[in-house]
Amino acid sequence: MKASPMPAADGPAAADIILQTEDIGVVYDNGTVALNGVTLDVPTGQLTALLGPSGCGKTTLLKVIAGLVEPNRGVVSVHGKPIAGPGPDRALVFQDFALLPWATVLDNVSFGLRARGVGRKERHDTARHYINEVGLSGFEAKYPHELSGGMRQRAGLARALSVQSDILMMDEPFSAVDEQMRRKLQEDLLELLRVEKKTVIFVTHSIEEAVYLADQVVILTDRPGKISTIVRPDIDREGEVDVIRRQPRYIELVDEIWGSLKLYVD
Amino acid sequence: MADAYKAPAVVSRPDWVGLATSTTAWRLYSFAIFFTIWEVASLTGFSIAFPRASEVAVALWQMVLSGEIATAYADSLPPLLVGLAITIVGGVFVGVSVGLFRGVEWFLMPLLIIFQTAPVSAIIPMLTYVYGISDTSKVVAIVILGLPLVALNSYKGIQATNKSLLEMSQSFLMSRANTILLVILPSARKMIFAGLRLGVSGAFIGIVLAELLITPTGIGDLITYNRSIARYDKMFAAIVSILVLAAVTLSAMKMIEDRLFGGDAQK
Repeated sequence: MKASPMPAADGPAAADIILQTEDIGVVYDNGTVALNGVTLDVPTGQLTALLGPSGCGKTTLLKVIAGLVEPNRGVVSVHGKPIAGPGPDRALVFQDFALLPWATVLDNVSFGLRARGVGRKERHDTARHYINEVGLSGFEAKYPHELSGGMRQRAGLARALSVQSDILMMDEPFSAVDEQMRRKLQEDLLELLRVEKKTVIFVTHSIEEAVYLADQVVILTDRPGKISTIVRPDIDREGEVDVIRRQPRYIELVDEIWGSLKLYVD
Repeated sequence: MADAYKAPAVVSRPDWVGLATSTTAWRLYSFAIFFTIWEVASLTGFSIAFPRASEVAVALWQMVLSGEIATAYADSLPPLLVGLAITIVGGVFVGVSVGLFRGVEWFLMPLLIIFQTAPVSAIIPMLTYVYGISDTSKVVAIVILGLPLVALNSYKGIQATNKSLLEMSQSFLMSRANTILLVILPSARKMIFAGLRLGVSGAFIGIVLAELLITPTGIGDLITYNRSIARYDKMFAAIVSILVLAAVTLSAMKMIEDRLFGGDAQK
């Protein structure tokens, strides 16, 4: 999907790491250990999937990276600098879309730009560009309740893109839409990322989705949440996006990951 | 990827004027049924203190012509309006502050709960000791009956803000002030308006109670006086007049609310 794909076998060089987590530990107020010593490198311009059974802490890890949850120990650094809360270098796409029900698509998409003090006309122009890019043209004046689930998530994606952060974080972005729509959204996301050079970190519980989309699949296990393995699906993504699912390597990888995960599912 | 999505059938906005007119029609209709039943029931003559609806209507009309109603409302309306203003502005302000700030919540929440649950009308006679037989007593009675309802609903509205929207706002670096303005208040507005309508009802109860119990002037005095001289038709006419005023005020508020928020019906 990128102009110069990384060689699959060896990891990326240190200079290409945009975001790092170091020994992240999160303990909830009730004493539950959500994350225990998660150390992870996120390569620039690649798609990293956080995969694991429900309750393994993958969403917590994403929220730590987003700066919404403060870890009890460990550091998250972007470009080598530790983060203190949310920042302009990261934008989040929400599982439940998190659209303002009383605001139009245009106002929802320009919300992030408004937070950054961009003037009305400019933020609407930028928002229109990304609304068009995610395929929502013509729906600018609609309210979220007038849109389907897939279209709401497109609006959520446009909002995250419009602030032009380097890192796009997605929390189970396609879990609230039906299977056909999910496939369409996945394909559209890959197409979109060919235009928008972004580093993407996304949370999923779908092995197929992780292998299909990601350059790096981080498999987390629960009790307590830690990284079990990291798989780099060496899949050729240069051609048509719908061909990927038919590659033997794709099918093999899905089986392999299921083999390692099913020990933890009961 | 755009062409995969066709516009869904246009979701037409409700015709607000038409809707308001039709609900008004329904209201008038229910009034008509109510007064018919009243008229028929009173024909049985089971109590001399229960005049016929038509007698009450005639009495009301005569009281309007003689200026009795105008004189009474000249006494009742000024404290009612002042009390309403304090109830509305103060109630929203208190409720929103309690909802937004921990410290204010800790300090004011117990008071609000006490005022909401206690039989406040029982303490209204005691207001005389502090404020005497005055308009101030009336205003205070209105405020203690109305303001806690407005404040508690505003507070609940603020508290009910979707957590995901708050995280969204935070993650897009929206300032706290703008989050309140653009996320929290719009999200709470329906609860706030529901509270305003309850508070206005409370305010009407407050003015009548104050005039019945402590300050025999205005519309409350009109009720008490006519009861004492057994002019039950005039007594009921006075009661009906305040009921109509309250109903008209609440309908007007509902219309303002629909006008303000009509365009974005939520799921």
